Amino acid sequence: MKKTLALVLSLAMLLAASSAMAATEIDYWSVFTGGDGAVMQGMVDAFNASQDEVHVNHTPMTADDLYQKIPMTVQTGSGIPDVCVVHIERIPNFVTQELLYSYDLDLINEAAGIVPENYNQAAWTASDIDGEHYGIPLDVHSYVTYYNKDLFDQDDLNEFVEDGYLTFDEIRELGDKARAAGWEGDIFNLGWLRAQILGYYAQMGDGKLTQDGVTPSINNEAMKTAMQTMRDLWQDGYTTVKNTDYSSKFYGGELLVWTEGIWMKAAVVDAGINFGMLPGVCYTPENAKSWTSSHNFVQFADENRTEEEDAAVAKFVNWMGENSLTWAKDAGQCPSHLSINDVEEFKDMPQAFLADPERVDELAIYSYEYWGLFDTAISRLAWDFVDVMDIDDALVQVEQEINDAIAAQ
Amino acid sequence: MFWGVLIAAKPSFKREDRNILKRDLLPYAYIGPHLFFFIVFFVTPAIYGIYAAFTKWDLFNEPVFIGLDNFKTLLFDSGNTYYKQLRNGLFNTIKFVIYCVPFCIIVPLSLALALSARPKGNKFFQALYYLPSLMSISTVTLTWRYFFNQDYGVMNKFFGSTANWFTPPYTWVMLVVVTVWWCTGGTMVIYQSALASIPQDQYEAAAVDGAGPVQKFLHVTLPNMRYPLMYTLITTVVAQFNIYGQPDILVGFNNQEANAVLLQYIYENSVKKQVAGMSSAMAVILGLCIMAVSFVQMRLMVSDSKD
Repeated sequence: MKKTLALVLSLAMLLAASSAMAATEIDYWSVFTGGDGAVMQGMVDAFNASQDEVHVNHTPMTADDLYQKIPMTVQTGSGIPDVCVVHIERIPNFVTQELLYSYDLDLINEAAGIVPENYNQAAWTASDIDGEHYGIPLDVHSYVTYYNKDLFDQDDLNEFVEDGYLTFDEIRELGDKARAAGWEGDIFNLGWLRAQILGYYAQMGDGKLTQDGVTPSINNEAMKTAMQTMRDLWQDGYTTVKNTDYSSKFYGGELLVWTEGIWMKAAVVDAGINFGMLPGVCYTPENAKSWTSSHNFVQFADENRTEEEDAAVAKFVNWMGENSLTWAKDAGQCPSHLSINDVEEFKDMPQAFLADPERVDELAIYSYEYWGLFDTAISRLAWDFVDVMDIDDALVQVEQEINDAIAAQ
Repeated sequence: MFWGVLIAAKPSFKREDRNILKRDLLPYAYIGPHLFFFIVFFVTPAIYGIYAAFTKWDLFNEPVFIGLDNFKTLLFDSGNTYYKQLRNGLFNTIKFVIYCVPFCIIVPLSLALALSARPKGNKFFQALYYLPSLMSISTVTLTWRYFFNQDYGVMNKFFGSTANWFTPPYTWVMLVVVTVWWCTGGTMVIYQSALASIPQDQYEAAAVDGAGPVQKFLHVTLPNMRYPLMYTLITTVVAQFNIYGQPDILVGFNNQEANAVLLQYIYENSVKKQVAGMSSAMAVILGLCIMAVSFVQMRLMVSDSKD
């Protein structure tokens, strides 16, 4: 009897001790499913291996899936992730729908040393809403300009990129020069048009999609100029045409200048292209801006989440920031934790200019409660702006579509 | 087990009564599981979808009942985006049905007729023609997209063409070709089965009467295939009214929405824009159109069978 009692007591003590030492389990959802998904999983594994207080369970899914699933999950109140990566443009709408909790800045500072000064300010301040803070940026990812260095050498075009910028006038000049030298490939591409339009729009005015926070206000001179710029380049033969596989053209050495996201860097390296990277094409270097988004760690509303779990999330998020070289190196992104600027290996990376605190104004990050509606409407009509529609009509249509959707929601 | 308990609880039942009860109730035990899932996953969402058509709903908050407002907007508010989308989407859907359905009947019928002559290798060709039906629409459309890619597609490389096959004037042609290629196999098998069941003596009698191949086809084959043809016509029309994958993956909303079909708008409005009430109303209108067309076809079929 005594032996049995002793055994039971020992087991109970063992269980109590093990539960006291058990790591806090964190459920983490992200939008990384491609090559960056594997990189992110590697980082999560590295975090789990680096300590035994917090264990993160990573669930990747496509952005579309996550944005459809998360409102339902929060509404049902079960299975809500403790931390989640979303694109920064989505945050205002999530806040309006009361889906997000703001961060307790004291708690995340005490638990993990997270302070705003550690982060890229363009990305950090974009999720400040009504005095609350909702997102901790993992990175900034911009729509930039790649150019083929070998082709530039071959046609003696380096004078156009010496200052680290490429203007629309220079696109035309270098195209003419290359053509005169016998170049038969493409000069510049029309790619992800929404990202291009917004990069150019931000250079022409205040870069706002709304003035009152609700009603879209994009039918203005700045937007018309941005669209006309693209149409002129296309009409004058300086760009690829509709449905062109411009990525393959750049990889195959058939395109001089390629506007794309920095997330494609790894693919360019794999293709063996000797490339340079610049900000998005600009009107003037002084006014250069690249359309930029940012993956942000956010916490969706969950009444059952404990302070201990919030602290564990903060530790995880801070670790990701302080160890984001992998994210820069393998996923091609630009980390938003400013400690990255002290890493020698990062300084030599082509996207390093995006992390420069002195060039933070060059990042055009958009914030609009009805971003989803704007994105859908403008993406749908993007090529029509370029090749068939009257620009005035197109802008009227986009604004009307957003207004009608807001009214019908 | 339920029936067993029921029967055991009624000991006064005679054996005959019990057999009748068993005979009457047993079918329900067989269809029960299917009926359960049908009600849970089809009937209930369908009823809720119809209810949603009369609401203003952002998918997150509770739907707010607004009566016929969505339908008024869709049918009468000519300045509204959704009025324009309904007209454009429905018009393009009907256009697609008109372009596509004849080929979805004629092509498999021709292939079935050719194979029924049992040429050498007919089993191989039967399998070959049936193969696309086994693929998902994403696989089919992506394959064709790469095949007809303007820069690197096999077609353009082979013929030295620079045509962009997914812009006018080729867009509708491509959509029809891809759809027919995808749908032919299933219909062809139905026709093959119907052809095999036509009594040979009818052909022999026709031959004795001096009928040639065309007359045999018109007066023996076609009348004997009346029901399979009507059946495939109805199912094909319904299927093509529900077109979504082909234009969405091959063309998107490009070309000033010239090829945008109604289901594309319905999906975009409900899922991407969270305008679920309006989009449900669009879906209800599409459903009514399909029901109306099917009803007319069914009536024709019934009156034809009475003759």
